[in-house]
This record gives sequence, structure tokens and C-alpha cells, in this order.
Amino acid sequence: MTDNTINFGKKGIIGKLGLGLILPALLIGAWGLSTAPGGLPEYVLPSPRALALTTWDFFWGTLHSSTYSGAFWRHALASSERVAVGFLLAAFIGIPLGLAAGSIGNVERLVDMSIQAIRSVPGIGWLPLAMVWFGIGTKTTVFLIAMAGFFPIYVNSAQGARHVRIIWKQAAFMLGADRWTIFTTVILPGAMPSVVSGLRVALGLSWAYLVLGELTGVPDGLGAVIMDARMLGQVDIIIVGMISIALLGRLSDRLLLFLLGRLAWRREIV
Amino acid sequence: MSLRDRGCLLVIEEVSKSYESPNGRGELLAVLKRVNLCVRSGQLACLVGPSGCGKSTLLNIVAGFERPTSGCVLVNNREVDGPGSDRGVVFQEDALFPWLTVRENIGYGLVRAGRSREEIREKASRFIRLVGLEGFSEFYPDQLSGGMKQRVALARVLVNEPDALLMDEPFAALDALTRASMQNLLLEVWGTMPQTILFITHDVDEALILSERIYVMTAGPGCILEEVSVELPRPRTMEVMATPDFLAVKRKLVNLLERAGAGGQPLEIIPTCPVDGNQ
Repeated sequence: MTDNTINFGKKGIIGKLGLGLILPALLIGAWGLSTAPGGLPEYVLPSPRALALTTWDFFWGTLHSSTYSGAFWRHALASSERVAVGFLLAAFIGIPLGLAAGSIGNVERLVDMSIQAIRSVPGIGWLPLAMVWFGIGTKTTVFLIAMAGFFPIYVNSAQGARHVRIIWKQAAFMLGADRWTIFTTVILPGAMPSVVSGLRVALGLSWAYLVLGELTGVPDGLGAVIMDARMLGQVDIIIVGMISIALLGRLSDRLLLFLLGRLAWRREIV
Repeated sequence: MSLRDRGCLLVIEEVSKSYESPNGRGELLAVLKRVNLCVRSGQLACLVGPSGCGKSTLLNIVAGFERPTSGCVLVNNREVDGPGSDRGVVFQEDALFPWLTVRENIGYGLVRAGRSREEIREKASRFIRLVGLEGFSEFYPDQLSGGMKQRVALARVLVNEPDALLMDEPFAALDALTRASMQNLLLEVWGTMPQTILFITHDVDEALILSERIYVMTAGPGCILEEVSVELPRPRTMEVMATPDFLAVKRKLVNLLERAGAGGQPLEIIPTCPVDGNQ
């Protein structure tokens, strides 16, 4: 990633982060004060220290104090699987359809109106229907993720394909490319920056809809952890679950960018 | 078919082009009117004209990006119907693929033609050297200057050994020094591998430095006003450019261009084209 901000003078890592660290430090300070003896009780908001211990235990099982000790990996794996399947479904349908709609007038006229109409139903609105169709659990979750991820991927891919410069297509034609090779060697790479932003938005949404799906009642997954903890009144586990999802979301975004960077789409065999 | 008999490799015959007027009343807007033009095999012909006279439209028709309303274009005795690698185009704008390196841009046409890996490697290297870009083969277009990009653009069409090279004001966006060196490069390349070139420009000096045959176009609707032969010695150095002969041809061209509407005269005093084209 390139750094587009103008930097006056060189600073160390602390110097760069310095300003950004002030707000979190203040927040943690206020949090510590409010949970001090005589403040908020444990069942409303645990102290920073207690939460840190629970987080550590959730990951590494050092306390052996509850069923949540060391449970992170099992739940994270279950959730990641659902996100991966739903997201890949959305990408495999969204990218080709979007690119085709953005570059072929007839495809756009055929599908775009319908897709835009379906898009105006909010993602959560699909929950009741999904529960009727797929029951409670993994299938519903994957369906919701795929549904939510499809639209940003489709819209961005179509937008990217639409804005591929005509002169690139003309150049490819006069260098001997046919329509299909122009699709794979000009439209796909030309639209790629836009496709990538669609994929990133979709992946972010995937984690949101993962939680929604898992709240409906599945035995494992981070959403299920949060929901169970709420019923058991364990606020610390709720917060640890939220942190875990944020962590995985961020991690999967980096992973996506890494994989796309390694992909061969920008290479010609020369 | 008079033009076809003159040993022309590229023949533009009675080409007219009109667009539907954007006012939506179905009126036709004539852009080109009965254009006739011929470029002999191995000749570098220039097309000069005021901006908006339809030069680029004509080149797009030859390239196959647009179809003429009437008339036809022949390249190597084949009628043009659509773009193809037998006619290489160098555009005015940067038209390189930014996601490919210099080498990959140059190899693009060879890959499409299904050449072997070794041949592509060898040819790409040779043409990188031809346009003087050794050491830049793994650079991306964004890392190159405007002049270097046009070198790549030239190499990536020459490598396909096209029948004709079409150049649409390729050096217009460059600074004066770079433009001069690109003109030299083009002449050098043209000297080593004689190409049939149709070169569009609005710059009279450029046309005189490059070409032995200059077609002057007029606007509204565009047609060939006159065909001028340039019999000046090569290379056309600063000394040649100061000779009375050179200045006489230049004066003639400038006068023609002024008549052609470069000064923005009202339409009715723009001269009409000879009825039978440039014959």
C-alpha cells in the first residue's frame, strides 16, 4: 500500500502513531476509572484487566476456568469457513456477471434492472425468508453472507468494466485481439482496481452478516459465542467475541489483498 | 479505379462519413466528404489539416474502428472491415496497458498471434533495443516519461510487422525537444525497416521534416484540398530547413492551411474541394 499523505520531516514509529494513540489511551483510562471499586459492576462492564485476562484465556486456555478457555480457534475456524464459502460464492457469481453487464450492453439490459431492484431489499430483510428456506444454522448464514456480498461485488465490477478506457480496447483490437481475449486481457485487468474495492467491501459485510446468521442459533462460531454469552450474562465474553470478529475481519482483508497481489491477472506470458 | 493503379498500398477511395446530429431531429452532420488518398508501399505520407477537419475520423476509418458512410479503404488490396493487426496504430494519447510491463506491452500482439515463447522473448528484446529502451523492459508505463511511452507504443505495433502504420498526432503531446528526438527516431526506424506510414499532424514543420507527400485537409466537411510533393534532401536538418526551397514549400502549406479554415473563417469562404478528389 502506498502512503498518500504528505509527510513533513521524518519521524519514528512512535512519532507517527503518537497522535493516534492519545484517544485510545484516554478511553482505556476512562474505562479503568469507571470499573474501579464503587464504579460499574462486573456484569455490566468488566475492568480492562479482567477483560485482558479473559481474552488471553479465550485464545490460549491458560485459566481453564470455563468452557470458553482456549475456544477461540474452534469458533474462529467455524466462522471463517462460513465467511469463506459465502464470500467465494458471491465473488464467483458477482465478478463475471458484473464485468459482463459493464461491458456488454445486452447483458446489462437483461440483468441490471432486476439486480438493482433486488438490491434495494436490505440484507437483514432476507433473514426470515432464509430461515424458512434453509432452517436455522450454517446454510442460512452462508446464504446471508453470499447475498450481502454479491451486490457490492457486482456493482463495483460493472462500474469498473464500464470505465475501462475505450482506447485500450481499440489498442487491443489493432494488436490482433478478439472479443474474448479483450475480455480477459483488457476488461478484467482494467476493471481490477474497482473489482478489488468491491471485494473488500463485500468481505467486510460478510463478517457483519456472519454474526447475524450465527445469532439465529448455531452450536459454534463467534456469533454463537456472543449470543450464548449474552444469555449467560458474561459481558466479558461478549466483548472478547466482538474483538475476535474485528481481528478476523482485519486479518481477512490483509489476506485478500495479499492473495490478489500474488494473482497472475496482471501478467502476460512474455 | 484510378488510385489502385498507382502502386498504392493504402488506398482511401471516395470515403464520406456523416453522423446523426445530436439535436435529435435526424439531421446528418457531414464530417468527411469524398476523401481520396493513396500511400505507396514504403512511403511516409502526412495528412495535415486544421483541428476538427476530420483527420482523426479518417484515421479511425482506416484503422477499422469506424465505418465510412460510403466509399472504401483498401490496405494491401484487402478492403478494411474492422480493426486488425495488419494496420498498427500509434495514438496521440497514452494507450499502453498500464498493468503490463514494457516487455509485456510489446509482446501483447505476438501472444495474440500465437507465437512461441522464445520468438516473443527474442523479438520483444530486439524491438526494445530498436526504440532505445534497453534497461526499461521490466518497467510499467506509469514509470516512464511521455516520450518513452510513445517509444513503447511504436515498438508494440512495429513488432507485429503490420502492412501499414497509422499515426494519429503521436508526438503532439510531447515537449519540443522530445518531439524532435521522436521524429528522428521514427525516421531512423523507417530507414532500417521501410514501412508504409500515414502520419496525421497539425504541425506543418513536422510534416515537412518527416514526409515526401503531404495531403492538406480542409474542414466542414473534411476533404483533401491539395496533395503536395516535398522534394527536399534528407536528412532534413536545420540547414535544409533554412533553404529557400524549404521555406517556399512551407509558405505554400501555411497558405493552404489558412485557406482550409485554420483562421476560423465563416464556412462559406472555405474553399470547396475539387469535384474529382485529388486526381
